[in-house]
Amino acid sequence: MGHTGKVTCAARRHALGLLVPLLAFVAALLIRLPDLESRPFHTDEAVNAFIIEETLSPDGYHYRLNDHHGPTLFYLAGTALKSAGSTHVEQMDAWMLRLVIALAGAALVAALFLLRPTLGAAATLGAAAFVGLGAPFVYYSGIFIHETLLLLLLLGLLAVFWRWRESGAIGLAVTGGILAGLMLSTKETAAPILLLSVPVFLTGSPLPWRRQLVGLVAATVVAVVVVFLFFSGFGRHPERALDLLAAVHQQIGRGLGGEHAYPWWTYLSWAGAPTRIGIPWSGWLIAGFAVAGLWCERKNPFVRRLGLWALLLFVFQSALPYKTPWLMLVFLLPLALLAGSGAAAAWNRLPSRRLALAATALVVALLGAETYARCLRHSVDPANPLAYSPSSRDLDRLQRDLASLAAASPQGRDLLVQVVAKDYWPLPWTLRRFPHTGYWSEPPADLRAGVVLVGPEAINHLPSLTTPYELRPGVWIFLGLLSAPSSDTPLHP
Amino acid sequence: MKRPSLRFLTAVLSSAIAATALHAEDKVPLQTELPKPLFVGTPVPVKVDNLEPARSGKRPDFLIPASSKNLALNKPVTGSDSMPLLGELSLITDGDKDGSEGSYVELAKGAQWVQIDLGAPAVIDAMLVWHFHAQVRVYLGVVVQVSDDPSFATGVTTVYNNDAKNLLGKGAGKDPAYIETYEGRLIDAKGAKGRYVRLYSQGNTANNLNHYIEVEVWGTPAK
Repeated sequence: MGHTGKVTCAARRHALGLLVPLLAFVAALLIRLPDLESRPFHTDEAVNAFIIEETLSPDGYHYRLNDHHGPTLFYLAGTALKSAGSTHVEQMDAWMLRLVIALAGAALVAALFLLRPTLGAAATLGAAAFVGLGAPFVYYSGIFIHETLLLLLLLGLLAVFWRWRESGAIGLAVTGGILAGLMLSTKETAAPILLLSVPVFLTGSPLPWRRQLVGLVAATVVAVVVVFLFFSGFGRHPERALDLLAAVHQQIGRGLGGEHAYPWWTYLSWAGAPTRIGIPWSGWLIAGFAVAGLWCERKNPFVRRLGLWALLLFVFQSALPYKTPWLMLVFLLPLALLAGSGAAAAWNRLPSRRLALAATALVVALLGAETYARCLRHSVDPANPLAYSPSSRDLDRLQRDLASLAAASPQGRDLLVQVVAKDYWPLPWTLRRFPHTGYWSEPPADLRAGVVLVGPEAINHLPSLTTPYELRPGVWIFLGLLSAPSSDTPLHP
Repeated sequence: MKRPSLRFLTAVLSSAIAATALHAEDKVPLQTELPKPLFVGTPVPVKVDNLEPARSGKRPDFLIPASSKNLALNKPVTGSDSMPLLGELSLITDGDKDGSEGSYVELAKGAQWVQIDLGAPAVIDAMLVWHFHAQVRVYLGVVVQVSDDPSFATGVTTVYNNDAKNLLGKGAGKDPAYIETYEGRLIDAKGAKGRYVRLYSQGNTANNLNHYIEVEVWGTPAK
């Protein structure tokens, strides 16, 4: 009887250990699903969609040294889209691409439970609440960019690495190597993140240094193989395998300045400064509970390392002039883990269960209100720091007007569309179902009859003006029609 | 500039296509490789404090008395930079709102002003200001004042001020910063009275220089 009871109890615990992450996954996914289609498509998402098309073409993926990052996201989403029969951008919808990221975001929440043995059940639940409902995590789970996938791989690596540093099992080292290789194949920022992370979690390992060395060498070799496989198109283009190394110089230069250079305190402002759309509760609550967690669990070596890790990542990211708001996620993740510990400690220390429940409800309500404001209601408002160079909802109007023009034309959507602008993204996504569309940065000599969309710098090439359409805050495009070759038509109104 | 409606544009397109179709049997479709879009990186946002939210669609009509006219047209202009880097101050009131070089005056770095003498005191209903619209820019510290005193020492009415940090010393303004477009900035002067209009700026988000394409001052002579 006693033996049976123990088995039943263990089975229940095992079932609960699977059920809770599954429920967390479902809840996180439900939070991430709204607005996947209707939020205007960001320029980065549009470019990424075209790179998927390129990845699925016979020539396959090739890395660009300056932008657009590694291939894992393109292979992952490309495989999913191909299986759904969508290999060209005109067959894709925004929700299809974003669903891949939403699933990665929900998986990130579920993956937190890999740390339950180390962090504790209550702290893991708390962390799941902050990551599952926190506005920055939700926002970037709804945009087709690399950050959430990178974060998922990083969390997986953290869980594997921590177990390896205790056991030294070579299988864990190999798994860690695969995850590190995938991270490097996802985004270049993985390199400094790994360089900062490994020493933090390696120090204090009970493993003899020889076993540590063997594990690290094995992981490094595996990571290099993974990078080679992904960058070479799984061996089809071996000449592209070293592209990532070739980009190091440019990426360092980019990190040290250039277009997205901001002062060191910018992340504090993005994460914590109130704007007209409200107070960023997630920034304050995560930071506050993280400090509490660090204090209350200061004897826990994992928690101490999480604190150091978060600090190093924050200092590194803040010291680099190059900043974008999604880069905050990398230090918000360890802070959210610490915040989970803080929330668990607070739960245990509050004098009554009723008070603890009320405090929990308040935290959830504040997080939820902020997420609603930033991720849904004001998702492309320039006052929303998470919305970095967001595309405008005015693109819907442009799409409707172009559809009307196409409907009125015997050519339908085959009509000629000429885009002449220095800055025209994300129009290639907006116009993806107009197959006869060309793009020029400078006005061509032979603009032909048809629809013309020009930027302000080329406005003299329109015979007349309609009202402007906003691509992004401060970036405009003007629609016009040329009814005859431009050489026969006076271009000035 | 004309702004035909979408319906009109649709009609023009349909007619053009129909006319082309009449001779379709003599022609073959033009097969040409259209240039593909060039991939770009993350765009840099235009970030300015108190930046006006984007407006969708046409600017709402602004009603002025029927007798109101552009009193600034061809009127003399003076300024803090009497030797502009490009162009002449007279371009500001010559009626040409084209955005290309040759149509605008470029003033020196930092805080600069230009002043229009309307010739006689006037009741001003509205102003339209074009700084520059060939590129996305926000001009900083835009302050517009009206006075009967050419030195602007007395009787000054401020009709627009987005100098939130009071860098020009004219008082901290609460009006929004805005992005330059071909439409020009419409300023409600609310019947301000004066003979002189002075416009300040302190560089822009692209560089520290100051530019003016055109300024229109709509109103009626004061009685």
